[in-house]
Amino acid sequence: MKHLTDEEWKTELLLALTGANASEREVAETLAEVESFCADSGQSTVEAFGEDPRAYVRRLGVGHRTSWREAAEHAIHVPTLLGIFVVTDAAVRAAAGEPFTLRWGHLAAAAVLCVTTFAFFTLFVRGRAVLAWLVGAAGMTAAILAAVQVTAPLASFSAWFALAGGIALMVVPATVNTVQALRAEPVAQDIDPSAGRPGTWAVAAAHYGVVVVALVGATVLALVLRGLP
Amino acid sequence: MTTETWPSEWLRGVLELCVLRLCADGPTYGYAIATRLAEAGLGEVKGGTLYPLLGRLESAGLVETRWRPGEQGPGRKYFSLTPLGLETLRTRRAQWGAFTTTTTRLLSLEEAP
Repeated sequence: MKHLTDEEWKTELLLALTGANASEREVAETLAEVESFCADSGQSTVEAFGEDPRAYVRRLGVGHRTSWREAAEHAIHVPTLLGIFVVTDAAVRAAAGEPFTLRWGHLAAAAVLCVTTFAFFTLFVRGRAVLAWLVGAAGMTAAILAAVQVTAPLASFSAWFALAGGIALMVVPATVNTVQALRAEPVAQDIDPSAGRPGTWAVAAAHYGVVVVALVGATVLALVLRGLP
Repeated sequence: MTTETWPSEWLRGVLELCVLRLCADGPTYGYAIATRLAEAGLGEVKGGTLYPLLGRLESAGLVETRWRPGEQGPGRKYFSLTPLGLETLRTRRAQWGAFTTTTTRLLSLEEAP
């Protein structure tokens, strides 16, 4: 086996912890334990903890398998994705002065997005990132195709009403995520007091960013299409 | 400090009890425990052996932990006995005493000619 440097060993350790679905706190604690023991003993990571970081993680017994319930919690991302679809479509209709038509394809896209989101996060937290992204890309493509190709109408209403609904679909999850993030116990601060806690604005920006990007994108798309002959 | 190397299966059997005993002296951290084990003559216990053991003790509710900032480097995780850990230590220490007395008595018998 190749002799790892301390940095390589710690990188492998982080990958192993991520693959074991260790919590944020478990990751921070394990890394801090390794660093403090090596700093105290003057030993390298390999000398103190062995050649194989993955074997060390197995001995620690940290992490856990993702439960269906945890994966299902990621369903909060589905309204955001639906909101992006609805806002984009509704903005184009509003700019053209047309009503927004809810189609069976939209419902099919919503169902596909639910399954895709669940599969993506289940694979991702198990360390199968490449497969997760492939499944995510395939699911998004299928959802777009369903939304565009399945045109049978369900209901028709004002594009501005649909636009407001689409914005609400994105704003509600962003608000829930922001509140949860602000209420969450800071993981790293008792382990490393120098670790700063992100400010309210930074947390909010991280969660509302997708809303702003979707609105700007939809507006630009609507203006471009409106300007076309 | 002895430099004698003990059979690893003996250490596996006794290490948990020894670590519990050291934690009974007050909050202590990984490297300090390893140093005291070495000074007591049990040899060098690597971090890769010690932390999984401490993790099992914590999961079993025998020790509790608290992080304190390091003086210059990374923070340190301090381990101390819980009431359950203290009770467990007393029980197992008594058992260990009886076990070693029994074993010593057996081993001190003269071999048959």
